[in-house]
Amino acid sequence: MIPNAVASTGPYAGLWSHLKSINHALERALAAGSSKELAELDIDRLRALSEFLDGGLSSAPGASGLSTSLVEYSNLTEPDYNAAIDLRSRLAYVPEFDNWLKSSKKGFDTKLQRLIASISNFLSPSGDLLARETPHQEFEILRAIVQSLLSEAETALH
Amino acid sequence: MDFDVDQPAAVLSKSLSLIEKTDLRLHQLDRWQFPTSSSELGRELFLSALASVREPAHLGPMDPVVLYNRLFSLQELAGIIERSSTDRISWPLVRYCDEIWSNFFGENGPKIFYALTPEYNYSILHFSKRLADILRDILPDSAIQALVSNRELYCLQLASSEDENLPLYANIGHEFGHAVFDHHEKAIVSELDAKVGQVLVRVLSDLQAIDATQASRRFRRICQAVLGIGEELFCDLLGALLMGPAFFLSLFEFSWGQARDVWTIRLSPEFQNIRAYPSFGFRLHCISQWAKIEGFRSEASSEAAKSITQKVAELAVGVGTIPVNHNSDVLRVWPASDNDAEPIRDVLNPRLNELKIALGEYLHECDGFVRKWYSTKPFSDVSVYDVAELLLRLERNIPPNIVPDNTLLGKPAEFTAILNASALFRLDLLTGEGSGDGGERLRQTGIVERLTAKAFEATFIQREFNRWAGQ
Repeated sequence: MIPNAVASTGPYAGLWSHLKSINHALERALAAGSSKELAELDIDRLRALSEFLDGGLSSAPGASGLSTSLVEYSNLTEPDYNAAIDLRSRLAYVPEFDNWLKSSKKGFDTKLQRLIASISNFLSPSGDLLARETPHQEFEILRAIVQSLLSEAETALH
Repeated sequence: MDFDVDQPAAVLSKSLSLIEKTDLRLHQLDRWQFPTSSSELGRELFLSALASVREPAHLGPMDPVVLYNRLFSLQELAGIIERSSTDRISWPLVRYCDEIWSNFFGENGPKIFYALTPEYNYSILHFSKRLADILRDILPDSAIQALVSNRELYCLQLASSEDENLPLYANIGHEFGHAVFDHHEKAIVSELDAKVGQVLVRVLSDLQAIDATQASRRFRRICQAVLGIGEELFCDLLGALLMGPAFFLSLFEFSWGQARDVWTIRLSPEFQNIRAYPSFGFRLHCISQWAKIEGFRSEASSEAAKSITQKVAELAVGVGTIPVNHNSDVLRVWPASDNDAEPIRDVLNPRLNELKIALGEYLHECDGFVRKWYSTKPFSDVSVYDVAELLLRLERNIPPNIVPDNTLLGKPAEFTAILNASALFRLDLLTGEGSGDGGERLRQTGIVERLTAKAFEATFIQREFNRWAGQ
């Protein structure tokens, strides 16, 4: 049998297509150079990435965002992959992120928050006629993170 | 041709061909073969989704490879629509189901269509939600909303490998429970939270003691599992209220050959796909209360019931032997390869009894909710005497569709009374004398299936006639 991961509909297919579509939106944003060229789908996928990273922060030990109420976890409209992925330990294996983390004294949470902010700033209305420029450094790191996770999800598809 | 450049275009081309092929397949379906008009809603919704995907403005920003992958998931939904055919789906059954559905949701609520599944089990699929989930990575949210807004649709999938086991229709009540749960999710989950909340706080503390760095994440997965267990038990409650002892017997039959003392949690990379189930022992214990098994048994042993047929009392004794013990329950978490499986198992197992008590209290509250929400709808107890009268007919190979009422015609039997009589009679056949003779058993159970199907149809038509005639 020749495995065809792309044609898989198994349990990891949702995660794979989620990450793959985010990766595509990042690549389009990097190629475009500014937010002006983005389509609605790109914006939605970049927002999904921002939520994904934000969920990684709220899973931190002692995170203030953790709710013990079941109501918070029911009827989620977006697929949620945060609970299954230990982002903190996974990112240690992404050299682009790790090197960037070590380049300053700021900690993991601050750096991750900076990546999240880079997405929200890029997507927020600029208030003038000029579109926002793509934050290349942050988006390249984001792309490295997504591709690392994507590579694992693809292996799981086989 | 340069595949460094052309590969995405080639994948897009393959995807567009697949869309055309799927579109053609669905257009070729004969709408007159659909069991109800709601199947057409499913087809229209699906075809609208394909049309939206094909729009050039949507195709541009899409990753062709993601599109190709999502099309395989869409094929599964297309297959469900294709399996929605009157060939093997009984018309009276879907009319009964539609009647129950409209009691729950009215004319303006979500709709339901019916299809076969090659699986052994019955299941309900939130069709429009599943479609939206599949499209999320290829269409913008606004396009998905425009597509599914005011088109909420479910699909009840009937087990084709069990389509000659009519008593298992009792499971349909449980499946409808999932839609009722969705409809009242906030109120039900609030109640679940109120009852199990303290147990969960202790579970979080236990998780932190094992590994504080992973506790929050693992706790969220446990919450999803508890939500799943709460939903399953709610659906059992509804199944018991709607179908009575037949649902109890049906769940018991599902448990054959399996461990009845194991609670399971199946972890998944996607939070919403974590699945969790209580043990059969605990479920049967809960259902026996809500289906009033003890009351049914004692009434069936009364002289009045025995005067109709001794059979009803004999069968009631048999029902009493069904095990509902859950004292030795344990919880297992799968897959073992998931690093969270073991710690989740280790913190939940010692708290299983606390959890069961809290879940029992939650079900009592849900019973009150359901009766309040649907106060005018029939959750009537199954009449032992009606069941006894129908058993008498089954013993003589007469369709169990009429209950004597001192008139020449008698009254048409209720759907649940037929279902219960048939379920009891069939189980008696499977366990009775000569049960080792496969050929004879096939013949006898075949007769019961046909008599039951005939009774569903006849009683339904008689009720429709009575309504039309103004009786």
